[in-house]
Amino acid sequence: MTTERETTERHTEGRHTEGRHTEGRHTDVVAPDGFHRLHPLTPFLRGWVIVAAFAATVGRNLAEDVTARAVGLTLIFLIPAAGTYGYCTWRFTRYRIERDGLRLDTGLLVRHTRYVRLDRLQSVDIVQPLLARLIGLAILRLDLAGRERRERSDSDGGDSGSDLRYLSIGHAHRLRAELLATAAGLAPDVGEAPHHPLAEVPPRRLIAAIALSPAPWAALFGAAAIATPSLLTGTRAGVLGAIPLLGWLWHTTFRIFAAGYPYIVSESPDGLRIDSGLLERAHATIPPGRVQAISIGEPMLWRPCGWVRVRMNVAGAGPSVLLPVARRDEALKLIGRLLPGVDVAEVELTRPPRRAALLAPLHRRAQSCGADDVVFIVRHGLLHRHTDLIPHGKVQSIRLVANPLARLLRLADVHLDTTGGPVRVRAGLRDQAEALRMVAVQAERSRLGRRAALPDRWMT
Amino acid sequence: MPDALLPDPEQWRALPPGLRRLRRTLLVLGTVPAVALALLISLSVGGWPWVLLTAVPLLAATCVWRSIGASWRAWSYAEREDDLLISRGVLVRRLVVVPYGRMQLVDVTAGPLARRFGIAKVQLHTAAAASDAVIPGLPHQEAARLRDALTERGEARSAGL
Repeated sequence: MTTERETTERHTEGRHTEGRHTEGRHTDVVAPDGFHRLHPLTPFLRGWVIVAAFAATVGRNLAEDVTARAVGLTLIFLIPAAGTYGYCTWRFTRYRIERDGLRLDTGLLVRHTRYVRLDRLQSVDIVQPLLARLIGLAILRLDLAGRERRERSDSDGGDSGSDLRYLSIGHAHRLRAELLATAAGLAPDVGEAPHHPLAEVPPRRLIAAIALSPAPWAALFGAAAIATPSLLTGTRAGVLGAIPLLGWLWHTTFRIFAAGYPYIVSESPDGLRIDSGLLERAHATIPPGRVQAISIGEPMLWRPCGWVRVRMNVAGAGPSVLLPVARRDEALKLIGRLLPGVDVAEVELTRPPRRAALLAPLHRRAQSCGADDVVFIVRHGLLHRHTDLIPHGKVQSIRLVANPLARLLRLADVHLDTTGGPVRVRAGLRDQAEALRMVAVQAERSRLGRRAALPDRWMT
Repeated sequence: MPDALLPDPEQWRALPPGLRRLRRTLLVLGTVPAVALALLISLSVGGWPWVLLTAVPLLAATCVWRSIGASWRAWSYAEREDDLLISRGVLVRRLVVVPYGRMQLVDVTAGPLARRFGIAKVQLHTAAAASDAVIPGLPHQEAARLRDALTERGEARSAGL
């Protein structure tokens, strides 16, 4: 068991983090009352934000006259202020694992104690932004049930209140294993659960996939088209104008590559694990049953190669990409694993009636939908083909919408609503009577689907 | 249109007239000064043909009056054994099916004006932001009854996400 755990740990962290375990133990400050503090380098990373904000402001005002003295004077005040702020927030932030939860105290003037109940924990993710990764630190992100609702009501943005930032990477892994084990009702020191890989993205395929998507080429040719005339005539304006496009090029090529390689999807008792990122590392865990809906996207240029991109909606916060690029059969196998009983190829799909061509002359032929006992499938998109699937048990509500034009043709759209995410399931332009029947049948199917589904339990 | 889902038309409940009354009162309150203003302008400009200007707000108000009636009539809801149905919309017809087991919370809101007219709005939230299940203009007792009934059934049929 020990050797197995060690191998998996080594497998996860790779060679980058080897030897940091000991460092983690050294820097883990433990107070006598069992409280831990964050990593002492935290204030530097957090204070960095202030300095960066300052630099951005200065950069923006560069056109106006900013003398070296002004910058120096500001820095003299800013750096101690940032340092004090950073030190104080670090000093007053502490956490402790208690019997059935994690207690997190923050706040300099207003003390704020957050108690995270472990049985409400949705997932524990480790995120490493580039800068933190360079010095071997990580953020431990705790996702709680109901977080989505809170976000919707006060649009507070991300709920960073239950992040532990920053911990040393080794300590983060240990704490994560400990939290997951405690949440599963095991002894806290069983260590990280063993996992075996299900799918991986080979770098060559990822590069080819990026080269086969239109966005980088549009950026490249756009930049060339803007820059060439001015380069020939020797003016500078055109070259400056091309910079945003080059930024976009960077975004659509390297950023996508860095996020998609290495990319390992593996299965463990904790749920589905996604370890990804070349520069910024993310280790996400999706507990079983949290995947709400899946969309298989096939861009036109990828179709000859048989590649697909798989995205998903996850309840609560979670990654929205399941596979950045994969062979179709690989993707279908993974989906079958995630949503048991789902076989996309088996489901019979039907097209909208012929008269729908008046509203969607080209798209009518690309649209189709159908269902079997487990899943509802919608296919749409002429060039970029999408196949959206939602298990009956995951449907949140069913809507039938008929706008005036569609009503003239006795057509209607059927929406199967799911939690927030990139996937929206909408069967467009169905015959009105058929749509009504579909709503009725679907309501019945989701009722049965819900009944069949086991109550979601964290890692059981 | 909703009949296919629910063969028995008896189960569909219409809204009580409170909402229509509230909206029409607001409309009248807005129309009277508009007509007065149009009349004032037409008289100050002078000449009889200008008085026809007052017909514009009156005509607009009539249209709105009728559409208030239509949208009020179009709104109906039905409680089935396992889900709540809401049918609404005049131009864009909508039919929403919300299973009780999917409800996360039920909101009952009543603004000061709505309270004067004795009505409240019941809104159902699921984990999906897109499911807009709203029943406006219910009397207070009915809103409270619906809220309690929905929460009770939601608890009985609750399912994980």
